[in-house]
Amino acid sequence: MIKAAEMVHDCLHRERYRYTLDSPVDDGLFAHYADADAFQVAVYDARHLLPQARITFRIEPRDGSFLINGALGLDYVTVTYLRGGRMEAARATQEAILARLR
Amino acid sequence: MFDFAEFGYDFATNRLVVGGEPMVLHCHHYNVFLQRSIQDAEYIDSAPILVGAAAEVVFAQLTNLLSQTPDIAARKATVEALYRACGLGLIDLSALTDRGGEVSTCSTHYSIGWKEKFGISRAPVAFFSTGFLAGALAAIYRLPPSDVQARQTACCSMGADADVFELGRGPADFTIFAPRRDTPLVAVGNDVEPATSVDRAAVTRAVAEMPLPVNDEGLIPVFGVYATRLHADYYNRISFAFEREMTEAAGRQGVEIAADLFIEAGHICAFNTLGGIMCSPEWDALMSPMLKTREDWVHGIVAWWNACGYGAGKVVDLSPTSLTVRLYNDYESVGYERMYGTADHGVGYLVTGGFAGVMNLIYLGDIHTKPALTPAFYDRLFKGGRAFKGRMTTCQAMGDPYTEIRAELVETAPGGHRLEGAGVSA
Repeated sequence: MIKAAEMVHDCLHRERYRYTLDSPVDDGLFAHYADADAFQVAVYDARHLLPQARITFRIEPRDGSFLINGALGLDYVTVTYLRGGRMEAARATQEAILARLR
Repeated sequence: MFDFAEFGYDFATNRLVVGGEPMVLHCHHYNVFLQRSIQDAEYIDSAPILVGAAAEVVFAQLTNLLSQTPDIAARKATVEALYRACGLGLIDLSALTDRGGEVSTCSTHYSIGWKEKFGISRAPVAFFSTGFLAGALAAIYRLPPSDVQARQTACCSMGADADVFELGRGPADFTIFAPRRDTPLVAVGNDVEPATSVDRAAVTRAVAEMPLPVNDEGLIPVFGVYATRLHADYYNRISFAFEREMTEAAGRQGVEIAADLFIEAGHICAFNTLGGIMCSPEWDALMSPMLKTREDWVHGIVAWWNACGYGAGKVVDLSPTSLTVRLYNDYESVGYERMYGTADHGVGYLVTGGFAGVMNLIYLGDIHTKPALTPAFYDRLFKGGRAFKGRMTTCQAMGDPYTEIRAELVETAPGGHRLEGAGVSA
């Protein structure tokens, strides 16, 4: 569930939101973006150097219409939307996915 | 593919050297602000400097990188991949011959970044790309850069659909600089740093190893900015060549004017790039468990700074009202010595503005609350009467064993003008 959606200043003239969630993000989020032809999911795990670090991730569709940044265990993600005709649809879809997370 | 990770980050000196050229991370705010600061001095013909500085470093680097690649198509592919890996955008060199040719692209960091920051431009702005292409043409076909010409004829920053660059042969239409010398690096000292819960060395290593995602446009949108990994000596050359021109025009005052501009560029860098980092999920993911105090935030961001290729920075003194950072082989000093020998004044402008900016963000800007990094917030934080002021207390380029920056909280009376200065002078 989305607890709060806060618009964040974006100097690249995109629209960026910080979505605070009811519970920490887990890797269940990735299941919604499992289609490798449509999405690119990149993770970075630095726990070999910083044992308490969280695994960061970036999720981006091939058309570049949005970008999700976050880390497993954090209770928020940021989503940046490219402005344009598809922005509202992209935003509605991502918010629906985030709303369904437990 | 071209991957900077293959070249290995030197964690002893906190530098990344690729094809003989040290590479440093910056963002579009810094890149276009620095360029505009130089261009705004209309009595100096800056375009040949900006193009020539890029041609110089790219030619040197590619001559090194392509030394074992005889095939022209393969040489072009390496150049295109390097350009993209730097976050400069996309180029297609397939039509290029040893006589030159036209290169057209819809994605150029400087054109897009300029438009994002300043709006529509009245003239082309992609000087780095112009110089990159000049250096690349010379390196691909083993030509002397002095026999290559390059100019930009259309620019997205002006509203054009594409950036267009024309390359040809003939006497260079940009500055050919005197060759740089090899200069030894100094030994990094074993300075005692204040205690912190931040594992500084591990953070630097983790950040240096973090992939920088290049998108399909050849750009690197991270931390709310477009990042680049460019040649340190490009920044050095355009800054110091400009400073020397200013000195010729205005004597010692020219140095002071240039210093003010470059230190302001350091503030811009700190606010946008370092501020963006400290507001990011990546920062929270790596750093959160270690950040107990504001001092920890300073140690943390200095550890990130050390992953940017700028040299080895060490916090030697820190309080809520002051910071002293000692830098070994800061890229400005190393570059100055390579280009011009020992300096008669301090040249650590980026670091002076950068560390004052760090203190402003952490102690005055409450960056831990993730404020919006807006132009209005920048003005409040950096242009108000109460702010941290940086000064160089030593400079490696002057022969000192390191560069040291002291940032202190200063207050001015309402309406007073707060000036930051170079500090170290002859």
